[in-house]
Amino acid sequence: MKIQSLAIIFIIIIMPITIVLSEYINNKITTATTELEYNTRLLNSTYDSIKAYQLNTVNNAFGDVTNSKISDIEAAVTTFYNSLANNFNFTGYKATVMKEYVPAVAFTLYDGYYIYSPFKNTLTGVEESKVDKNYSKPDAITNGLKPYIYYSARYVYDTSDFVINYTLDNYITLIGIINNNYVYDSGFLYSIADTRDESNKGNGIYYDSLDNSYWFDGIKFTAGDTEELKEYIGEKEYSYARINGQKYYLEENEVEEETINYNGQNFSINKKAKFFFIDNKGAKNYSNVDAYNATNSNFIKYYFAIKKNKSAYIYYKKAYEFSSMILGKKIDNYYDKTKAKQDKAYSLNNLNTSKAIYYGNDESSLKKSGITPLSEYGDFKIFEGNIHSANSNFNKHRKEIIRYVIETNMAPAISGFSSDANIEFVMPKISETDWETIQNDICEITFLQGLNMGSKKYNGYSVVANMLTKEYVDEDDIYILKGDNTYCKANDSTLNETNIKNTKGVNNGYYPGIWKINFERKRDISGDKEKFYFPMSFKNGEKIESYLGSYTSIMGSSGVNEIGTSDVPDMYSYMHHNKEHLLKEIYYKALGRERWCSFNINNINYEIYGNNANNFFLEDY
Amino acid sequence: MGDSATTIIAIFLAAILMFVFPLMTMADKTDDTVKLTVQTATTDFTNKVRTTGILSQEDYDNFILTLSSTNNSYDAEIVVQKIDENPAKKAGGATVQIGDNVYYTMYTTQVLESLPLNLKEGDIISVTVKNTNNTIATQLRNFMYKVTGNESKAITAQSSGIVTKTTTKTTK
Repeated sequence: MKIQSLAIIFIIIIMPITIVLSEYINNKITTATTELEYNTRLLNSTYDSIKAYQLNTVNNAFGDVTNSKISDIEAAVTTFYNSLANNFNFTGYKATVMKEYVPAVAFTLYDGYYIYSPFKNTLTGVEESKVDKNYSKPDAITNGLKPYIYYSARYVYDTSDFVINYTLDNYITLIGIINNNYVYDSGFLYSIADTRDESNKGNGIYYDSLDNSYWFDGIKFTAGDTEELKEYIGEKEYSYARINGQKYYLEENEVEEETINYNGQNFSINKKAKFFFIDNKGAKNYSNVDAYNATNSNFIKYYFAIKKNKSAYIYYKKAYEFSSMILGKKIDNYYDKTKAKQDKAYSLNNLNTSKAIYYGNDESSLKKSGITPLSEYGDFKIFEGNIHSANSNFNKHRKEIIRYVIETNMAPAISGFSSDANIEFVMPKISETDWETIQNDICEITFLQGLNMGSKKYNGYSVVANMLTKEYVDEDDIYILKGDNTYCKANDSTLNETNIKNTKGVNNGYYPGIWKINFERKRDISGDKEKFYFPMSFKNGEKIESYLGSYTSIMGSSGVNEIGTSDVPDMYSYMHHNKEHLLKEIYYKALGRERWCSFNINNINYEIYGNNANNFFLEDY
Repeated sequence: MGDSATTIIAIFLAAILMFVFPLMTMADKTDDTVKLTVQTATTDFTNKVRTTGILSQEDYDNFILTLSSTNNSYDAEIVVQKIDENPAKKAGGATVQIGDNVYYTMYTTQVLESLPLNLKEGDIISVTVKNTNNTIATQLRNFMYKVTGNESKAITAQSSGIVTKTTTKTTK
């Protein structure tokens, strides 16, 4: 054979191999690139959905109430499907087409989470004509929210059998039998310091029985240290107080003073004052508090709650009492949330993680389903050490429970899903960074599976945190007002005694620590024309101007002191190491005030106080 | 004489077909694979910054390490656009319209000087990566086609998006 023929044979053999191989690699590369694109698109759609949720909730006066929350979430999910349909160029199709590819959407909230996924509607015994077919189709697969799942764990040992509901911060709820005694109680948990020195070191709350004051990290809280909060509605400034998550404003168009005896002291009050809240239309609603008369104690309570707001003090007081009971230090005349008197401390200071019933679950079968077993984190005392510290045993365990509860419920919700588009759905592995987000923030987790990418099918997820939430007050959510009419983060390096805005004055006004939601724009649709205003504003001559975000920490970040390092793991330790005593005082008082007046998440107050759960918050006035 | 000319041409053609062509194809494929690695690293890096709100030294180092593991040198350009909502606030409450916000931009050197960089919801991050060396595929192509100039980069990747999380913490 000639050498030319050999060459030709060589080419005939090599050419197809090269072509096929290159096609194969091309295909693989296209698949991988498509996957990347899909990841980004899914992230974008999830963000759109969160944005819709934020817009709806910030202006929703009743956003805390479950029914309203559900409709906000459902609206957000609809936005998600629409955005997904747009992003994936299926614009010709309805958004419902995308539902075939979404096995579940999870909304994690303050103390639990919702899963939005298809389920079989087993509603029976109702006449078909009476059912709103848009919403509920009996005996059919429907998309909707599944029942709320709490971040809870059950502990069983000796004569105790109870459940602890965890949240994204140090608020817990205790339900069940502790040492043969039924308890339903909730509160913010802190370590308890036995001496003031200990407390000054940042090791917990100290109670000083001499003057009935509470100390935390060198800051003193007394009942006499009150605030009068103020903010703008449109062009007028009102005093207000947040009660049960709702802001009540004091309107004093007419003044007629009367001196009353309140807690043994004489006070002058305005009999003509009125109280209102802003409803969903942005209109003033006066229906909640009746006008003043000699027997209307409600009027006086609201009046003092606004004029003499002592929420910060109550926050630390209640936290001290609840924490003492948990940590085995009995409080005299202590009543739990069902108003039952508790004569014994709950004494959970020796509670171990291994007492959680999940702890004993079979490790190998859990791992097979992609669930991290509790036993993997080890056996330790939950309430030992500095509870509020980011690295505490409590926080470690709290995060374990959140992760466990989500994994165990999400996995079956996803694998139980089947649609025309895909037969088998599997929960993808969520990265550690994303778990951090889920364990610390309110967020939306979306899953997308089954889309064709060439050689394989897509299986991805996306986690987006909701940074504008009224659900709870995070430690980072307190901003500080500065003298130059800007606001900045509490860990702004430029803050010092001289440039913090002096709004508190002498027995007047409020501490200039503000919850970040108050700086958001509000909408007023009560008039003919839609108007916007910023509640946190000030008067500059005749003009009302909004406080501006500082360029060192809000709009920019050049002046932010780092938090999350090993030396400064959290805001508490940042404040502890901070030399500015005034800043510390402002921060802790604002944190306490904003947390105490938040919506009570467990609704237990409704069972005791009837429709007006506000009474729970007004008890101390 | 004619015969040996044919032989020379045949040998020349055979050399091209048997060595240069497969080499070029393979080099091209290597570039494609490298491009995929670079695109993956870029997208993952951007998406992580977008969902965590932090551009940390560690993440940046990892990103650069992944890039250099491909045995090429790169120019990674990071542009951060920070949203400034103050102009909208200054406009006064009554007539604020969406779109009043402005952005100010930080370019690569500024970004790298301020690591770890805290971002907030609404900021925009954009990462562009180009290779600065000539890969084998580019060299071969230049040699074969006599394409002059090396502006046409073989490996490029781009990824951008809105930051979805505001954070003050590097870790919690």
